[in-house]
Amino acid sequence: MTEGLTKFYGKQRGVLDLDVNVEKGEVFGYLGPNGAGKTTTIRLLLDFIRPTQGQAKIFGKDVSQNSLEIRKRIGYVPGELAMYDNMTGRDFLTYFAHLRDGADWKYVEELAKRLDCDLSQPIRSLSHGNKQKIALIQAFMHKPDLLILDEPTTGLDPLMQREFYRMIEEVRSEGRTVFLSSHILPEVERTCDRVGILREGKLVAVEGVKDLKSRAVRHLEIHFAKPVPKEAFVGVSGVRDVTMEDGIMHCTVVGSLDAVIKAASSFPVDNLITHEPNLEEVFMSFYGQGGEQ
Amino acid sequence: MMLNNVALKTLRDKRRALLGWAIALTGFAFLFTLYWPYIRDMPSIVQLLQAYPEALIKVFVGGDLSKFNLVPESFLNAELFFLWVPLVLMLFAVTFGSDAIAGEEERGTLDLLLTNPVPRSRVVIEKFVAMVTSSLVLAATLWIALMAGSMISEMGIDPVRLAEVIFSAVLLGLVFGSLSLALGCVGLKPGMSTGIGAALGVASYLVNALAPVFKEIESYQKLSPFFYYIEADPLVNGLNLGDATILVTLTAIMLAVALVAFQRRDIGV
Repeated sequence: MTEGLTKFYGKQRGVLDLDVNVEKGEVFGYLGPNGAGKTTTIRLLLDFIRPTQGQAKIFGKDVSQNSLEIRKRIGYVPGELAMYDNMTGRDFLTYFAHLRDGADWKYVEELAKRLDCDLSQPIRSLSHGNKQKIALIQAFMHKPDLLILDEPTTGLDPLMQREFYRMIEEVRSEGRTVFLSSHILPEVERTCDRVGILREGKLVAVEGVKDLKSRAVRHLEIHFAKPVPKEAFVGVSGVRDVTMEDGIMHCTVVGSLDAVIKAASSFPVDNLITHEPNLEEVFMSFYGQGGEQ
Repeated sequence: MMLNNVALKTLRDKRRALLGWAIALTGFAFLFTLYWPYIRDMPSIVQLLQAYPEALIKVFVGGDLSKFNLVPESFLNAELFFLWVPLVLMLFAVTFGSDAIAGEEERGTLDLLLTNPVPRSRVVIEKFVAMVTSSLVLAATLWIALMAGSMISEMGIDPVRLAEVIFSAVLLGLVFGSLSLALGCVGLKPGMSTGIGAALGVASYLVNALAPVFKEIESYQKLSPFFYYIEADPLVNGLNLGDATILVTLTAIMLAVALVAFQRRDIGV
């Protein structure tokens, strides 16, 4: 999909010598902390900005030379959402459907219903989550061959997030392709087949989601009904950094939670909380101190 | 229907603004026509006006005032067509032009718009068409108001000549409107595009108005688009095709710059 793609803003790095390959029919996660260059990559793909060096191809064609043809077959949700505030959702979608030479309006209505989205309100009066729903409908409505989604679940409540994951699943089952950028690891784990990890403008790894999960780091907090010796967990498979205080255990778990849950099951458990690690910690666990591979 | 393409959608967005401009411009112009019967019956007004410093007269009402109270065309030229009508049409086009690309870019909607399979050049051209159309609508309302005023005040203005001078002012406005459009396409913010477009428009007016007074700028008069708008006195003599061609050519150059610049550059976030 991209070859040696590089973009500088003046002297500031956008992305550096990027080689990413996304296969037809897969859901590809593009994971990285904010500022890593995810949005820059996407804006290069859509020909909003032009590469300083290198080239990007979609459907086997150069994105600058054949932008129009490519954009016909793409649906896009921007990360920084800005829409025509003076229009209603319906007017907005009508306008975009015309610019695309039509969309299946039945499908639009169906998506609106599934996402519980009121199309008759002016966009200015909508919450961020409701605007996001209209952006999603806009991207999905013409059933594009490739969906490019930049942080698509921003502002969606958990119920709608699940509906969105189902929509992604449908796209996958129809053999269409998704390029999903996110800084949220669980979201990527849940929806994607493969994940590219971007850091400071460079692609540091491409992993299958299974591999990613097997190496995932989680912070676990278990509240026991009475004090439990710390030693019960030290040395359990995948468990690190165990602390125990007033019957509350904190630890870091790499990979499956199975062993630690089984170890805990012999004690009375009041509560169990997992904290998702931030991406920096994921990088650390992948690449050791300093995050270098 | 108004959502079928970029041009119609842009017009739809501007409908309220257009109404506001139309009310301001036509109301102002119509009021002036109502003064005509009083001016006509006031022979001393010419002496009164000529008591003002020459430079002041030249800047605000233009040249020859000897027929100010005798010929309604002289009156309208001095009161409306020398400054107000071209200024309003110019400022309207300038705000329209700078909003077209730069405004949409600043609001962040340009990304989503260009996600659609629409060439950048088509977006620029359709926005330009919307600017031309709405300028013509504004001009048409002005024509109607002045024709009504002319009838009420028995001025006997030739409707075709009136249309010609208003059209000439539209052509002038579009020069600066397309300049602002081009500045936005090059990458300037909407505020800058409006500011530069309007400042150059006003400067061009001043050069044209002051050239007869100050020898230092006399030779620059022919560089001013304002000169080509009014020099031939279209209200009396009709549209001068040579002058109109110059204004249209300037607009076409700006549009070409806009198209080339916008096609090449990065879209801002």
